[in-house]
Amino acid sequence: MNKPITKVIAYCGAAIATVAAATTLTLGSTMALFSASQTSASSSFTSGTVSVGLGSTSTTCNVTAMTPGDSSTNYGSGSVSLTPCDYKVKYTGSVAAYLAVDVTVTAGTTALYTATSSGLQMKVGVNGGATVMSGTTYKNTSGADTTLVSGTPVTNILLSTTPAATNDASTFNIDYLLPLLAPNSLQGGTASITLTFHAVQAANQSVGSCVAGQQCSTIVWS
Amino acid sequence: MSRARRIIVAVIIILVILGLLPRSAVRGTSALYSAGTTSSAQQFAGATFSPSVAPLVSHSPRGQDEVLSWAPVSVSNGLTVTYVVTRIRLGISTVVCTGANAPVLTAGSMTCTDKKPGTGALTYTEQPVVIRSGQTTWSLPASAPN
Repeated sequence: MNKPITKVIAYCGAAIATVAAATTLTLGSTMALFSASQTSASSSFTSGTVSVGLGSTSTTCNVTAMTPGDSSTNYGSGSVSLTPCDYKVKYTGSVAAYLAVDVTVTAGTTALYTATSSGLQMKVGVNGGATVMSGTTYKNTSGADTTLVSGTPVTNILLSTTPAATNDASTFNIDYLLPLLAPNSLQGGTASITLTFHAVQAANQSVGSCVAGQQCSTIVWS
Repeated sequence: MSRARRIIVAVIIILVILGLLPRSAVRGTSALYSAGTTSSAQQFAGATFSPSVAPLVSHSPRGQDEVLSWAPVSVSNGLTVTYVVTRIRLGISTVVCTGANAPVLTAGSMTCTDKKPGTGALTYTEQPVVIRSGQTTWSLPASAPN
């Protein structure tokens, strides 16, 4: 008795499904739905730039035949008679950037720079403000005076906690002194100093507790 | 150990591993815009003496005095070179040719007169020095006694 009823129900279900499918197909192909669309204006994306360039003409030093007591005009002691060196650069990128300098001092086979108070002394300043190097020392990340060793670059000395804008210029002044107490072993000695000026985007970076004139490791520089 | 505990332990282990990753590894995934430029090297060189060895002192008697001479020494930046002249007699060293008797350049040689040095064997040395601000700075080793 139960079996015939079940069969009936099954047949009915199949019939309904068939009709529904057929209806959907038929109506679907003949229906006209109201619709509309709107296209946005084109959104464009342009990347900014971070770049550096030279400023006005720099004075590259080639100081020869120094004797103890010789110094450049702005050193503050010694003969104050020799021409200081400078390195003029500018930030040319389009986005705000943090600026820093790397310093490398290299002594020759006979050294004129000895990383002591009796060898060549150098003062490197920027824009008449932050001091990058004083005598034979620089300030590390914690602000401690640290001796600059010949041949070992000192990296990432922050120039300013304020990000630079396009065409901001920087002038590095290099003054020098060969002290009166320079020993005879420095006769004929040589030394050189090289500065690397670099910039990195300021966006999505924090200057943290960094101080101008000190090494800064909070900023990711490259 | 319950499932929840196992999950917590796993999360902690992952965090520790991430924390131990070197910063450079993390930096490698960031792409920051940067640029740089390097200056020309600023060059400095110390002066030298020429010749680099102090010349010997020649001497000859003139009456009771002794006339000394030696080849001049120059320093490469043109500063004046001063000479410390020493007489050695009977093993005793005495600085001579000072004040009014200081060495002078005569006919291409440095000369001075040692007044009444006494009798016996005499030898002399000279040492070129550079004096700045009243202070003796660089010098050459004194010449060999002659």
